Amino acid sequence: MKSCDRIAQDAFRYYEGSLSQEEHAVITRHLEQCPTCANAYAWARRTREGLHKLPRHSPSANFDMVLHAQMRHAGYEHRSFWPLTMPAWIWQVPAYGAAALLLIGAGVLIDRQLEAPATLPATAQITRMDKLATALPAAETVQTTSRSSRELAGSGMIPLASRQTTRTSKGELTAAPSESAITAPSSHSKVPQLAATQAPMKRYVMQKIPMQSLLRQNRRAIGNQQTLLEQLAFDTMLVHRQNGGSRTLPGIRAVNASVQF
Amino acid sequence: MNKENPKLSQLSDEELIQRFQEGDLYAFDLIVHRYKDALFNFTYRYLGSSQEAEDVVQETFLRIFRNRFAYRQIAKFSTWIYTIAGNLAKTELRKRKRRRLVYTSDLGYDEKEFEIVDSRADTERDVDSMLTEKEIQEAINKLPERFRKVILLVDVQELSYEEVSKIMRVPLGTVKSRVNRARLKLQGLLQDIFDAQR
Repeated sequence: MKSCDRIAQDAFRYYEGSLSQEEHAVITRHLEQCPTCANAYAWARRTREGLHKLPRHSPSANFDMVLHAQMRHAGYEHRSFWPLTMPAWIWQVPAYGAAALLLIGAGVLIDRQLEAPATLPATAQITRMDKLATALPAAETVQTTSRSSRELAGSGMIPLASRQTTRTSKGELTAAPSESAITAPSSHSKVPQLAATQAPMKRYVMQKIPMQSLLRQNRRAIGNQQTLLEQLAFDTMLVHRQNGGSRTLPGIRAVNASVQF
Repeated sequence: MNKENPKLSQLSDEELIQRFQEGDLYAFDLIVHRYKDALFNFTYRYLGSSQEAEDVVQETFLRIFRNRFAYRQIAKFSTWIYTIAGNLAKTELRKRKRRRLVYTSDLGYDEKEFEIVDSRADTERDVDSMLTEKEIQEAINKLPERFRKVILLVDVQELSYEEVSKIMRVPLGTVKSRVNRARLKLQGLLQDIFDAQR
């Protein structure tokens, strides 16, 4: 008669049927009589079945693309992986993803370029203007404000005290002078016109035009803003991960491992 | 539709690597196509991280490409490629231990948790209910490295004892006894995890 310890040792072999007939029969009889060994065998069976039924995982969709890129980077002469082993349309999936990201990135950059006021943040400039106004005598305030408005308008901004937003017949938002600005000398009448270029918070949408054309037309506005595109890719991945997404996204590849998603 | 060349796709692994050694790059494509899923699954279970597993499999294929002439047809190709992937995964595991990094999502359960449901599963979880993929992976991660590799190759990848013996370069008897000990160890870990959650 085998001991319980010995039977526990042979539980997996018993399950696999790799024991001799005699050993198998001995363990079968023992399991019928010994609840402890029966429980141990149940766990052995469960462990074995659990391993067997583990789902098979596959690499990400852009695995071939990344491998291909790494091989090119390593200097191996190799053409595309896809024509032979993959459906022809597979390669387009990451390509469209990358194109969409670039399109969004370019849109963000253009948006920032067009909305960027001057060298300082708007709040800082306004604060500086307010301090300038309060430091001057009351009688000069209006004139100073107007003069400052003209100077500031030339540099692409207007003072807070003389800015008033109105909506034109076309529905566009423009800036109009306040009462204090109206009381200023007529020589300062250019202020509202110049201020009108400072329509606050205009929204921009992307037109459906080819990516290459978009980049070419806006090359001057975009300039060399690779870091912003990388930031966009980083942010996209961050949001994706926070939403419980996978570690990879088509068109985005980690270029260093300083941050683990 | 798969566009595999019917003649190439019918070749054995050994014939494919020979064609690749002779300069047929499509043969390499087919090798990648045949093995990427199996290698990824093995390294994913071994490392517990999909990103690291993918890096290891990428590196495996790069090494196959670079060292294709190192392969001799005295061994099965699958043995060779599993040996390379296993060694790289082992190196990765040791690097991770050295770095002592704690990932925010170490186990990388990006995919939905898979439940291995017993047919008698009840609302109340008992011994005969179910083991989840997460629990099993958690137990695998706790196995010593020498047990982890052997149990994955035999019980998950379903390679033969003989092949595992060649991959791990240990005698056949050692593989068999190590598999048994690994299963018993895993069983104990699963029981502990199960009991801790009750």
